[in-house]
Amino acid sequence: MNTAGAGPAAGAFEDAEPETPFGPQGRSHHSWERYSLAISLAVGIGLWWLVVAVTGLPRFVLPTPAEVVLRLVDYLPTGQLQTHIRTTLVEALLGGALGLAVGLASGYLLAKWDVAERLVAPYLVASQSVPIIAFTPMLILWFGPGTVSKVLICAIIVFFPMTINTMVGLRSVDAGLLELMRTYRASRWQILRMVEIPSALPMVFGGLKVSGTLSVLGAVVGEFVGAKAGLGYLVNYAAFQLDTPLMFVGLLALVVLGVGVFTLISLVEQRTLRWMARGRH
Amino acid sequence: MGRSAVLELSGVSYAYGSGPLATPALRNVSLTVNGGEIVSLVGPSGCGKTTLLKIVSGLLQPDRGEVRVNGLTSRGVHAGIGCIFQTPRLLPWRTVLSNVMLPLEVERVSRPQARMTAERALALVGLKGTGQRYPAELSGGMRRRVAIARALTSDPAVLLMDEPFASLDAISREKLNLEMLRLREATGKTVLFVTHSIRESVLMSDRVLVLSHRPAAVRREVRVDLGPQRDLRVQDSTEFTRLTAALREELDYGEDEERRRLDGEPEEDGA
Repeated sequence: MNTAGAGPAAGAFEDAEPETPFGPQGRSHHSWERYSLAISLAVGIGLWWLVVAVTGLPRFVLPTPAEVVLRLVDYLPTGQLQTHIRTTLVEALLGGALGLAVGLASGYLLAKWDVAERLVAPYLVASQSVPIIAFTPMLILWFGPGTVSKVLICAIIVFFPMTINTMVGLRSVDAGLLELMRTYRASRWQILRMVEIPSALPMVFGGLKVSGTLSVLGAVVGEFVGAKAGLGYLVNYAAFQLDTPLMFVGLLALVVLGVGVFTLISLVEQRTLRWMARGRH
Repeated sequence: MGRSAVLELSGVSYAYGSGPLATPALRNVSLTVNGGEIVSLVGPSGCGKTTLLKIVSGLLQPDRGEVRVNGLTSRGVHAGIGCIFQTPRLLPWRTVLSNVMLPLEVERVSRPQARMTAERALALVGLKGTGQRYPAELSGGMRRRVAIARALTSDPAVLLMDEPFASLDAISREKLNLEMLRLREATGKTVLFVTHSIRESVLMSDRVLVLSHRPAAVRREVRVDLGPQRDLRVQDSTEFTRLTAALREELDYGEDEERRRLDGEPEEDGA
């Protein structure tokens, strides 16, 4: 983090930067850049089509984009896709929220209390070295194939990056600012609210961006192992039926979900950390 | 200008660590700062000036001796002190105005009231109209002014300044020196000012206290009779030259003495 105390003359040089053609503002002046996403999608779909056309692979191995779209159009009126999306989304959001809450709390404890780190660190590392998919059958055995087991899987997956990022964020708080608050005779709560949380936020958002997509992944992993609904269940089910176009529908829905969650978090981050863009230009 | 003592230190000693490994930092320091006075502390680098300020503020508790602010001692940070540090210590995520409001927010002053006070303080240091900018958008000198404005909002009895302008260029520094004199005229603030610049100490203060090498003790007190209203031309006066020369000699003398002490030590050990 660039603190305000940095070099006194630095501002004079930074002011000149937005004028350069390589700055982020300069790039958007090329008209084609505005359509870059559309172009990249078009090229990707074109290549996909080309591969099917050239290799002549059968529909159950690799369907054409058109076949996938037709399957989607066919499938939408049944309302099942929406149900699966809702199931996965609810699991990922609830689990993510739980993992976030526990991660923030334990990150705070670990940052503030050295003993906690020594006691908990082995478990943290152990939990991280066992792949979540190895846990999953146990969780489903204990909590059943419903929502609860998936929420727990998501929470466990989100917990680790949130804990670490919160801890590192809180530990990197400028000691000078803490001393400043002490000279105001600020309470612990005031110091947390006015200095520690805002200081740690960039790190916490970094953790959130990683966790958001991980949470969707956790829900899908759970659904693969045992579930009655959800996009993971849908993909698994379609695979058994050799209904590859439907599998692709499920995968595309997952992509949209993951990108959506990531974009949402990024937008909130941009709004919250607007100060970081100011002055750095 | 009140002549009563706002800040009193009597027999203050402090050591870092304890037992045989303790490093003494302050040795029997006594000093008084009266209401409306600016007193400078000069001394060789690393002599314990910052430690002394931390004790005065109450961030550190002395091993021996007593600190009184407005006649009161305290177990923790004293009420009625305002600190200005070597770096401005602004919160980068807050606007300038919101930074200046910080101490009032801690004191739970109502928002409109805090806002008014902060805006007045900003105007006082010549930063009217910059309230909505962020610290990163300001020059080094302007950030120092924000830190001064912030310290003024809670109307402290004593301002403690720890080499606040040390990292600034010479021109910004002189400007801010005069600004402080002007502020003293306007607000009647009592200031304890730590610096390693002899010029700065003479230009700004009513009295200069020379500290010895670590562990620091007050070595000498020099009264600066240049009048309350000063400008940069005061530096050309013979009185100014005489004072800076005397202080420099005092510091050099201390250094020689220190060198003799250090040179002497191995022989003592060998004996």
